Order: sequence, then structure tokens, then C-alpha cells
Amino acid sequence: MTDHKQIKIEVPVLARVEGEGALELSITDDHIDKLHLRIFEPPRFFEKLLEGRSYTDVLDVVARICGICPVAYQMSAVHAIESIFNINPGDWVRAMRRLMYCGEWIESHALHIHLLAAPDFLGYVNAIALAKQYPNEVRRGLHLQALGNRLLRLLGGRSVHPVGACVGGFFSAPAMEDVKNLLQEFKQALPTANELVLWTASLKLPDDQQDFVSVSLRHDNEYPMNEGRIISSEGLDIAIKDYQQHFQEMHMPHSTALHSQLDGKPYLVGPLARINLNIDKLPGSFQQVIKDTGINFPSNNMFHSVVVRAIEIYYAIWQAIQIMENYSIPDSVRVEVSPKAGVGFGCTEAPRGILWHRYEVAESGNVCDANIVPPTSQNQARIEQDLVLSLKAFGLDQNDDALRLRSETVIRNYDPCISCATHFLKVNVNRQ
Amino acid sequence: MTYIAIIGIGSPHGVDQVGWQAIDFLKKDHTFQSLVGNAVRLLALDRPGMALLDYLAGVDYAILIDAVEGGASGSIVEIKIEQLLKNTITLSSHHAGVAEALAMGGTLNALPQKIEILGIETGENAAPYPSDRRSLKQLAQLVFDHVRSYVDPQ
Repeated sequence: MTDHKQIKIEVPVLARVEGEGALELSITDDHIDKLHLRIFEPPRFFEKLLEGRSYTDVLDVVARICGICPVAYQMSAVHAIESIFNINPGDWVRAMRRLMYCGEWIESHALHIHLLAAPDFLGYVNAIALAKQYPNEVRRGLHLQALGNRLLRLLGGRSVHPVGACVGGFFSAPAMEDVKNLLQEFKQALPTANELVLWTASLKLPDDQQDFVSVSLRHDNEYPMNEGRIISSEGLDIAIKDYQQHFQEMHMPHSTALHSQLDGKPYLVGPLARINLNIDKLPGSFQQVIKDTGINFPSNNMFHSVVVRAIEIYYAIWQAIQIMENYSIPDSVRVEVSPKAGVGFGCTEAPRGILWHRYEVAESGNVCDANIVPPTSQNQARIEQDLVLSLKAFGLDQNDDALRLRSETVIRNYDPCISCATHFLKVNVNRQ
Repeated sequence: MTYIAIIGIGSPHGVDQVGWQAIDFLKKDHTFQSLVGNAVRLLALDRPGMALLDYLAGVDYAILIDAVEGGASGSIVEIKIEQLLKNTITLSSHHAGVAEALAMGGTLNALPQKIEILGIETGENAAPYPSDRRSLKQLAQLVFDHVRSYVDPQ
């Protein structure tokens, strides 16, 4: 008779992660038999909801997909639609869209660092418990989040599901006085963001080196946000319209969110992939900030994502200052729009990674077909791959509670947005 | 100077819009406006999460108005902050409700000196909430009384 050690761990609800998901893990001796990131958030059918609606409705509808990154959905959509209508809204609109995206990176990254990552790496059950021991750090994080929200309100009218952007540009221009006031607050916040970078770099992060493929946008002249080509760490360099020729979406029995692969392999999108592929696009003045983190990019340690989020907050504040210092009120806040029939593509860098959209629009301007590929969906296969490698490195002989916590830490490190992905934790570990 | 904020919280749609309706009602209520003048900020916030603390910064007295699931549709309930904090705190980057924001604010000593929470019960069905003028008038009177007793404790 063979004496096998069999373990079965189930995490039925993934705490502090948005949406309905779970993890099932079965271990026999030192082998993982099964690891499924189960996503049972019901499908939301946003793409179907768009069919038959005017292009004028699209930005308001897609903003509802996520309360944290609505700007990303709006920006990917607006670029796709404007490419169909052959619209170039000009430099002012381009700058304001980048400014708006800065606000979203700041608020989303600040929330992830302080509500998800820091409690995990410092050993607290949640951010409120963390705040009891680290009040100044949490206060700083909430201040930065609030600044990001203010930028969103400046251009979007409100921070959740903003309404300021439209196909062709914006509905209105922020008042000069409002921009000046916010500019002063952003200038004061730049050193604060630098402190945040150093704080995240001081966290005791697991040293877990893994091989993975990074995918992000790349732009000739800037750190990518709204535009660029899709590139990978393995040499891919394609126009966004060619995404579907290289990336495959597939149904998995254990998930209501589609899994994505690049040429048959999992890949990473998000802050770490972005900086790994674009560190040369950060301003020269950032060299010292990055050097002070002690990390050599590109990095193969997924846990460095938390530091990258802080670097990207610093960058977004810096970028917002540049844009606001040159702010002027334009003669016109949007260009005229004449609908045309056609197919268009949009791909922008949401806080969690590339967000790809494809729209087919009729001559009337009504949407005939929509396809939205969110970053969490793209990261699912990579999360499962990471969990296998991380748990093996951590030691499968660890007790169930330790395995469960490490699993949750790995997953939360991706800042997964399950609702965005569903079309996405609870952990079940089975030891046999 | 004392800063007072009255904040309606929730989605501007469906059954959750009662906070917005209450703020809209108060803005149009001449008696209330004549009492408070510019001393009170009236705000309607769409599920602000932790950003609620940003709106409470520098405020001495806040009244929060939100929809309350269940009960008798249109009934007004006064909720103690301690009562709200007894509920399970489920803090994630995407979900931070009023209880979570207030729990964080309490931990960081970032709450106004005084907070009152007024709920309007929405009943058991998540049907669209009809504008119940009687309830809104009753709520406005309650807010009026609270603000007056705060401004003039005599």
C-alpha cells in the first residue's frame, strides 16, 4: 500500500477581491493535480447591450463596466469609434484625455496599494487594521486617491462613471482657475508620491523569480496610456487592429470569464509588464527614483508590481503637472462628428493592463457589433500559471492556512477586477 | 466657522436614488435654505467609497442620507454610526461602502465631530422608488431640526 499525502484546499470566497471568484487547489505529495481560478460572476453582456445603440451612447455604457477604471473603457471606445469616423480631435483633446487617464491611474493604483497589497505584505486582515498601525501611510494613500478623483472630476464632472468625454472631444473645458488650483495640489503631492515609492520598495516582498511574457502598448514618444502598438517581451510588435491574429480568447469550464493566450501561452498585462517594456520611456529625471527602489527592471518578480504601481502614481502626477502647466482653454472642445460605417479598434493602458475594444458601426452611427477584452480576463491564465510556480516555490508542505494566504496574496497582486472580466475568489485546496 | 455637510449617497438610479432625491428636495426647500444659507454644503454622491472621506475633510457636522434596504417603503430611520460599524467590513479596492469609509475615517481620526445617518427604507422590492413627497418632506424637517439644534443648541 502506498502512503500518499493528499491535500485539498478550498478558498470559497476570495476576500478583498472585487467580484465573485474562488480557487480550487488539489495537491498529491509534492505535485499540484488541479489548480483552477474559478470565476462564477454572472456574464454581464455589455457587448450585447451596445448592439443597436448610437455611438453617442457607447461611452456612457462602457463606463458602467467598472467603477474604478471607467476612463480606460471610455478611452479605448472613443479611440475605436473615432478611427471609424476618421476623426482627429487635435492636440488639446489628446492632452486632456491623457490628463484624465493620469487621474484614473492615481486613484486605482492608490487603492490597490493600500487596500489590497500593503495589508498582505504587512500581515493585516484589511486596510482598516493596517491603518491602526500605519495611519500616516494609509492617510497618504487616501490623499493620493482623492487627488486622482479630483482630476477625474475636473474633466469628467464626477469621479465614478465620468460624463465629460465624448466622441470628438469633451463636452466642456475645465475653468482655468480650477486647473490652477489643482496644479498647486499636484505639485505638493509629487514629493508625497516619491515617499510612497520608497515605502513600497521597503516592503518585505517575496523573492519569486518567474519566466513570463510581458505584453503592453508602446508609443514612440511617451510612456503608454492612450495610444501605441502592442508589443511583447518575446518580440511581438503589432498594430492594435491585428490583436486577434495573435491573441486567442477561449472558454474554460471553470470560469465565466474568457481566458486569453498569446500564441498559445499565458501572458502578463499591467503595471509590471508596462514598465518592463517601457522603462526607457520614463523621463530621465526618474532614474534616481527607480534606482532608489533597488529593483533592476525588467523584473521577473511579480511581487514588484506594488512598487511599479507607486512609480506609476509618481509618473502620473508628474505627467499631470506637465499638462496642467501648459493648460489653455481652446476655441473648441470637440470636433464635429459625422458617422461612417466601418470597423475600428481601440487599445489603451488601463491601470490593470491593456484594454482592447473592437466596434463595427453602421452608417447610421449605431453599433452593430462590439468586442471588449479587459485586462483581468487576459491575466487569468497568467494568474493560474503564477499560482502553480509561487506555491511550489513557497512549499507545498506548508499548512493549509499558509497556502491559502499565499494564494490570495498572489491573486490580489494582480489587482483583479472580476466583474470587469466576466464575461471572474473563494479558494478550495484538496490534498489527497 | 463651522462647516456642515449634508450628503445624499447612492446611485442616481432605481431604488438607491432616495439620497439624491432628498438633496434635490432640500435644495428647493425655501424654509431650509433660509435657515442654513451658505453655511451648509448639500451634496449628492454616487457610491463614493473611500472618497467619502475626502468630502468629509474639514467638516464639523455631517448628515448622511442613504437608502436602506427593506422595511416599509418611505419610512425614515436614524442609524447610529456604532450600529453601522457592527456590520461586516468587506473592504476591497472596488467595494467600500459607507460603513467601510466611516470605519476607516474613525481609525484615522478623519471624521467630523458629529455625524448623523438618516436612512430612507425602500421596502423589500428593488422596484424603482417613487418620489414620495411626504417622506421627503418629513426627512427635510428632520434635517432642518438636526441642523437648527446643532447651530443653536438653545
